[in-house]
Amino acid sequence: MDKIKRLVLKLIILIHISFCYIFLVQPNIALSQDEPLQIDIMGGKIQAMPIAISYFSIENNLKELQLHNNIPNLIANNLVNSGLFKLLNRDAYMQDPDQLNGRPKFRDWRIIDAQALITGKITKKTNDKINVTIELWDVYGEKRMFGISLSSKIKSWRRIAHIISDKIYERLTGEEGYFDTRIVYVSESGSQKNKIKRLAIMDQDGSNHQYLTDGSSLVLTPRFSPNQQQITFFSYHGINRGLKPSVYLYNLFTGKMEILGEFPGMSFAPRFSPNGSDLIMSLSQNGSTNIHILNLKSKNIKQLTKGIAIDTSPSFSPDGENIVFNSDRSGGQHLYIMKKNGKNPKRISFGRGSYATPVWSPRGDYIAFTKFTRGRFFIGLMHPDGSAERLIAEGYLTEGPTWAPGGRVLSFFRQTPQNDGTMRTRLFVIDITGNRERELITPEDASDPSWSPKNIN
Amino acid sequence: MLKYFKIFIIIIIFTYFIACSNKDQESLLLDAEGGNTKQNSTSTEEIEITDNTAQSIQMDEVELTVEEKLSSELIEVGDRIFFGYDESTINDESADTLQKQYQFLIRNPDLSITITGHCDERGTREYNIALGERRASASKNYLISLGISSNRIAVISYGKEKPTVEGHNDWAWTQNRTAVTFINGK
Repeated sequence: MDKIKRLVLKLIILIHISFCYIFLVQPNIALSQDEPLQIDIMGGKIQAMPIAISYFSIENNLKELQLHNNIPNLIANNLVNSGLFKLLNRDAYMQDPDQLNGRPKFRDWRIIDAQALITGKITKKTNDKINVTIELWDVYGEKRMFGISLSSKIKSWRRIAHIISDKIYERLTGEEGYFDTRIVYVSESGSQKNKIKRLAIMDQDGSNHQYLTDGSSLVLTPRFSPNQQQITFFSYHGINRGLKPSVYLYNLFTGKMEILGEFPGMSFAPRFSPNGSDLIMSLSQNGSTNIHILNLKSKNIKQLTKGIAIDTSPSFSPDGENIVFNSDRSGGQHLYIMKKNGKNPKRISFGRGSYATPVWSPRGDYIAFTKFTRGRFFIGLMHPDGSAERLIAEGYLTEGPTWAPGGRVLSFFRQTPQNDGTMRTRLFVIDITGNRERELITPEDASDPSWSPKNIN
Repeated sequence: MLKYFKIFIIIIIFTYFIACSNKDQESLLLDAEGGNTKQNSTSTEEIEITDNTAQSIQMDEVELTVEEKLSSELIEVGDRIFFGYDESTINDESADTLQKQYQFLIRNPDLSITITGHCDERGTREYNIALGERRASASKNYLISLGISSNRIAVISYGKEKPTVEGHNDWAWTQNRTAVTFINGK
């Protein structure tokens, strides 16, 4: 009798465990894959525009792929993550996707207070290709704002959703979208003393994550080329063979990595010029660090700053005419702007504390930077003339801002000490108002993000 | 008188014990050797094994020398100097250490070295690479000023990437603002 009791008990426990697994663990995994970007509810309150995104109508023979749900879900995810939109609960929608071919009944959508409505239709084009048509409706204005039709291979459905998100975002905000983009960054593992760092790349929303290097050599500060074909970064690759720590180039299409060149001293802090023809970087020798520009075709190198100071972290203005950089020539670390030929250096930061890692916004109106003052690190913004300085994020260590296309949203990384003495290092996304901060989920610790330009179709 | 006698007795007992223990050790040693000699006459193979063990131990010791010995000597001399926050100046203590490194390099004229520069975590990555280079160069230039040839000294900065100690406090930061001298492998 006892044996049977025990057996039944075991069975109950087993069933319980598997239930827990199915209903608790599994959905969590699925969630983290579908919504890698999580909204930080501590980020402050905003007036988000209420929008309705209906599931799409779809041909019966495509239904099993779930694209009629997945594509609108991904669009909703992008728009909601921008912090500017609020998705209205689909349970309250009074029209079904199939009833939405043609003009919607605007009254039905006004009842739930939708400002905008997005409808869509998916049809099969060829065996492996689909066509996605979406329409954006102004519910109160009772008019069609725009419609677009995209076709591509079925497996590229995420990109279709990102491109559509960009179009909607652009139409509703008047700003350039940034959803059809990627982020390259440094994935970190191992102990503080022996960090393993690998280059990794992912879509802006964390999907399609991929490692580019194997972690055998230390890699830092990757940056995209304007045409997205290349990444430049700083690495200790080959120091056991007598190579100096240097700037490298990585070709995303071929997967090949090459050293930029052998220079006297260490080369680091690389960034492409806006047209991609040149690279600016620092060369360090004999205790002084100066900014140089290297033409990628001719490999000619020109020194732009001189002296015994540390001049580093250079970044071009979007028109390619000026360079902002970080220097300790006045004693403390401050930001300076000079002409692209190195002439007329002018200090632009005058506040208390140290200023570093300036990055010019792709729109040209702001320079983002890292600031260290009173024992804390901040991400800040100022206009190129140094005016209107404002701090938008802070932490034990926050560093390395990078701009999304459009110049309205940034990413950076933050180190947060944990109770067990370890450090958590993660990527974050924030907009220029500083209100809508959220973590970008990565498989491991992550630092040195670089946001790509818009993908090329 | 009784006192002296007591001390005398204690000394005698004490020496007796020492003698005994020595004797024990000696006899043990003798036994061992005796055993060996006995075995020597009966079984040559076993002796060879013990001889081999002894030799291989000696060989290991030989292999440990040169670089390892020099590296540990350098560590004893003082392989690193420390810096203040965001500083790269050589203070008196550092000068003293570098003086000793100089003498070490004079004693070992065939050696070349690499000096690595390090920073604490309270700075941005790129600035710290530059600052680490400045620290390592300060160390290098001091050695050059004492008379070491510049082509014996290479410099690498790790910025805040390879801290000496783990931790996120003043003590750790102090330990991690360094220029460390390494002997180059051959």
